[in-house]
Amino acid sequence: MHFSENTRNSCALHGALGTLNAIKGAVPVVHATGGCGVHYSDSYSKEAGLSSTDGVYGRPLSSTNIGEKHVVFGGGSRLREQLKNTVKILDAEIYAIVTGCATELVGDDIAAMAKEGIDQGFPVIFTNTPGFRGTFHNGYEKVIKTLIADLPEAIRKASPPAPHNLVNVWGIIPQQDPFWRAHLQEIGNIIESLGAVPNLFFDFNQSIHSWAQVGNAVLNIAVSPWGHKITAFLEQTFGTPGVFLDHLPVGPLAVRNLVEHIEKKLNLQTEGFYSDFQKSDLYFKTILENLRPVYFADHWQRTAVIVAESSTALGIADFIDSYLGIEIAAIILTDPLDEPARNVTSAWINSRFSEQIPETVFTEDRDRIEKVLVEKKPGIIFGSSIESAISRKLNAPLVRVSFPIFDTVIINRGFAGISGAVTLLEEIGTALRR
Amino acid sequence: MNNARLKTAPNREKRHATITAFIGDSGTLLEEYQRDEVQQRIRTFSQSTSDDLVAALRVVSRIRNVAVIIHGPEGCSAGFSYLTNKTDLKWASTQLDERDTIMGADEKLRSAVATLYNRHKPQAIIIVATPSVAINNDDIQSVVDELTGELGVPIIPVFVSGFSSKAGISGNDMALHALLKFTQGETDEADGEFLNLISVNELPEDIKELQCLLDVLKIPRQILPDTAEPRTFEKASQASATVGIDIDTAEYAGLWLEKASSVPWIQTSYPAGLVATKDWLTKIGEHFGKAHAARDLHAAESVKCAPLLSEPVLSGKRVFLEGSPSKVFGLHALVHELGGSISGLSLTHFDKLHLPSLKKLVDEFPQTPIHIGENQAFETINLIKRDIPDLFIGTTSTAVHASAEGVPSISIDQLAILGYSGLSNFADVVRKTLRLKGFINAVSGTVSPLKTSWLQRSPNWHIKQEVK
Repeated sequence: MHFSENTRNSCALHGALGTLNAIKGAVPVVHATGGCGVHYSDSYSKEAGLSSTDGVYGRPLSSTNIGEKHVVFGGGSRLREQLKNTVKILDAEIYAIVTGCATELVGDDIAAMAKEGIDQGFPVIFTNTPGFRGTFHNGYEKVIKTLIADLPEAIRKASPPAPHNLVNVWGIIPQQDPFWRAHLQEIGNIIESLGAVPNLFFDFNQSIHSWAQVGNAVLNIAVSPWGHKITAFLEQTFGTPGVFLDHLPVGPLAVRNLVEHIEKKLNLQTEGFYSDFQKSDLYFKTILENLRPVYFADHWQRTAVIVAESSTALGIADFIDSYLGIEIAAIILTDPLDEPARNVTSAWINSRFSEQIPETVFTEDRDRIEKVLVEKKPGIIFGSSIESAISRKLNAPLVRVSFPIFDTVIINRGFAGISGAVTLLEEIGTALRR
Repeated sequence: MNNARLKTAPNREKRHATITAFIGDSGTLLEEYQRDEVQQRIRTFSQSTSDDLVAALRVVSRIRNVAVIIHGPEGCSAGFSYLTNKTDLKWASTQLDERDTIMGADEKLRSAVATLYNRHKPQAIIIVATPSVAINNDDIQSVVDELTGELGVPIIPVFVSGFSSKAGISGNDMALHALLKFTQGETDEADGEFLNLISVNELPEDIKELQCLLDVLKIPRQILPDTAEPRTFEKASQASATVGIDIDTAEYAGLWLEKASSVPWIQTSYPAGLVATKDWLTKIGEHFGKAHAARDLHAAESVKCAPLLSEPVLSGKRVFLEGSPSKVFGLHALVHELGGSISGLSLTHFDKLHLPSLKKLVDEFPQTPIHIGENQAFETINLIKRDIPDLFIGTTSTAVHASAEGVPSISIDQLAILGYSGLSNFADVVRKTLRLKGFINAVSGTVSPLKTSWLQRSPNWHIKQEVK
């Protein structure tokens, strides 16, 4: 396949921007054509369920906006000027130079410019993020690796010591997962309920110091394939053990499964968790009992097709099979997993649904996705706003679970954990009633 | 000017002495243009700003029965699903990777065009270039030449680069250039006279209002490029006249059709407010021998709007306006009619097309602060903080900042302001915004991401003369 219709995975530069903008105190400096930043803002302020990070609207996006002159003669000096002035205009604890395709093709020496900034005493890091070298997900991975490896010494020194039992959480990509805030918080809540301290890195209550503490954590948890490389890297670098999950935990069973994984790696006092868990499990059972009239009246036991990033897709598949008896005809994974990750994902699906294996498709191509939907004739679709047209055509209700979501406002809800599963029940019920 | 032979449209700097960086007063700006000593200035700090690619994508986003290929890495098409979600346009990205940028991507493009054609059988295929293919000089033209014959539909290359101009609006012209150039050909005889109405990414409510007015005057028309199909562009050469809504986006197509096909280009005001709407209707009416009907229609609609003017909602209020020059000068007219005055203007760009509007402003207020620069909120806010207005009207992103200063703010991004219904809608939105301050009170005082030291500096600190 040489192209995709209605692409969903954007580029490394945008992923770097989404990641940096979600970090309090970080300011990106874009070295690219002017439109690169505009495409990012236009897309991720409108297509991520309006779950924009602070930077999309609230914070001016510093950008060199290179012109023809810079393409012909090089744009290094323009970057020098922009960096020098960014530190005068925008308040930050760290400035991160990120690059677009044009400046990389021209061959501007970004490292030299960053070094100049550092020599002047500014907290500057840089990472090369041309769009032709990867998607949003790769931009997330690159920025994280850079922050861990190159965090300025001054920030490290100023950071408070890491709390006892610190657990790093990876793999939930701000904005590419429109529900990222709630997902991170819910994973954080689960970790807290075990008496450990979550290191979530993004948004509320986090700061640049969260990054100085990465190496002092007792555990790294990846809740999607996009956290695996980072977790493995930290295992090698700091010897920190890792939990490698492929998907979000949705519902009580998945939460307990996550906790068991953590228990295997850490020696924690988890009695408190289990007594609370029993209550939550009971609470969830009551919700399901109360749901019965709606469940039966609206015929929830339908055939579903899931179109989503792998972490969300598998999490939802696991839940709707375990708790709702919904048949899954196909799972379409839209994030650009590499071959080994695809194999792991397929293997998980094959063993989890061994009685009736859903067709597994790896694509972000709208036409291919719609062909699968037409063929499977689902009674419910879990997907993105792009699927709304085909959902109307097939008269199959759509639950919006994955990027892009431009026709729903998401402030602080998601599908992770037990509270997320309740939200999902509400979403399914509402979609079927409309 | 007949640009049909050119590969793409010349940029705005060359055509209209367009500038994108300036802070000063209205009188100084006018003087520069009158003396023909327009200074190209640059910024030593900038925020991201629309380039020609962004503008070109807006032009093609609402065309029907075509398929669009964005030829570049995937990020160049970010946001296009949102932009096209109401139109169901078929589009794809060639998803170029590092290898393509080294080895060339002609083959990928060829395959994308063929596949997209076979899947959807569009009446034309539009290829939009991106910075990567522009820098690598990828051969788009040979793919176009080769496949046009093979597939039998127009293949329309839009040669934008992301860096061809400081003014993103140049990409608007480049896209229209391609659409008009590659849809020339044999067309059926048009039945009767009709008007070309140039509309680029206008709001459906605004278009509806103008359509209703033209309906009353019984003037048949076709709209392009919004909602047009390839045939609409072909037929454009047979129209009796062309008119625009917004001169920034319409002028290139209007002049093209006048030069290439002798279709008269009717220059009018941006139809916001009573005076400008009258001008728009009358000039079109005159061309079609319906000047009387246009005046009667205006008289009847004016009567309906009279209560809005007798108790003007902006009486005694000072307003800061931000947006494209057409829109800002249009809003200026609205503010004026509703009794308000201007505290300052921020324009995405400025050029010779807007000299008449600027002159009118200077005649009345020679000292009006003017900021030129798209999406440069760090300057706009610096300017606003010096002289806090009673109301801010502009883009959503700057409205966010203005609201932090406690200024009641209106976003123009989805605000219908054209024609008579636009006037009453605008008055209603203004009334509510000025009266109901619950939200503004709740969000005002948000900590600014801008350093205090910057806000105390002159707002034009980072605007410098360009050294060639």
